[in-house]
Amino acid sequence: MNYHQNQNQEIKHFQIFRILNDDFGNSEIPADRLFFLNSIKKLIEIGESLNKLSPNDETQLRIKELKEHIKNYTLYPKLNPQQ
Amino acid sequence: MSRTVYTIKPLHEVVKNYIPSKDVFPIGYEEFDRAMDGGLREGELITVSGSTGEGKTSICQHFTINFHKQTVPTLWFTYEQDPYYLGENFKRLDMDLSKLLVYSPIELASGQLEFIEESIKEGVEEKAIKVVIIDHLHYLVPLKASINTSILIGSIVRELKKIAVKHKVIIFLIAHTRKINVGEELNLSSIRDSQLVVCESDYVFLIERRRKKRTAREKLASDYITSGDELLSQSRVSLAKNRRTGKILYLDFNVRDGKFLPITSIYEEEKYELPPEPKPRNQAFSNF
Repeated sequence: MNYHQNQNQEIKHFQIFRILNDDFGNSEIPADRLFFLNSIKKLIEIGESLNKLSPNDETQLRIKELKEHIKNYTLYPKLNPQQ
Repeated sequence: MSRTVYTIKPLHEVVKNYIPSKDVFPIGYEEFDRAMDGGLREGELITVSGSTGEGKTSICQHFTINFHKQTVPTLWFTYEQDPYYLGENFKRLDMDLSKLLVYSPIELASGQLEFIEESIKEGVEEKAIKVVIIDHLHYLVPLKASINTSILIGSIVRELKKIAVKHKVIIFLIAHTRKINVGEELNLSSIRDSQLVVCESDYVFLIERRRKKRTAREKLASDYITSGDELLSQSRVSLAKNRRTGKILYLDFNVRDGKFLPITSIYEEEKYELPPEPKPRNQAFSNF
């Protein structure tokens, strides 16, 4: 995979992340949040495979960001008592 | 010849695989949660028992609603009543069924443990299920069982405990009591068929309607149908076994239209009372 292909993949992954985060990651429904969490884990896996094929600082940074994002992510968010 | 695969390791290494989750799931009644050191944890099995019609299913619905308020979803195996009526009961408790975090198998195919475990597995993997309610235990017992029912029930409850640990869920198991005689207090030995149910459970809740004793004159004055003690619109929910802290207590609730409204008084009963402090030795001798 050449540099441009790799960069395109990254952009796609970043877009996927944004869509996932908006539609599922911020949901209050645990099933949606579980889907988000599993998808992010899958994205990290794909990223790590890509990085093995052609090591890239940008990819590594993205992987780190994703890992950081799900580190304290909970399936059961505490709601505002008024909700 | 030396081994290449080891099945034992030093304990300090093995314990690393068994670090319990720090997540605690309160059942929503402060006094009970405090007695359970904050609430329930993954892998725990809770038995809820009481005589028929005394509110076992209702109190579990209240627990469910309290879990829903913490965004924790529940999976109900409702063998005793149709899922439709379970839904109606939630509506009566002012819940919007379309938003309620409660799931149920589309069809309760059987009471076999394989079916229950498969449904729980799907619930955990797809819906983030954390709490399971089985209503009730005796639907899991094959009617044609030829072996001792008591041992069979004990083994079913043990399997449920294993399922709770394996899939990291909290299982509530509703169980009937044996026939309770007039004036008899409900206690752990009241649970029908098997003491093993109590042994395998981490917590046991007992529920009973409060009754007002009638005098002989009142009994004579009333018609023959209601000639026993007068049933009050109050229920007592007791935490009768508590594996975590040993603390047992009960709470009284006013029951109106199926709604359990806690009565503010708290009744606590310490299981393990501390012995009185001994007098200092020299003071004890000074009495002579």
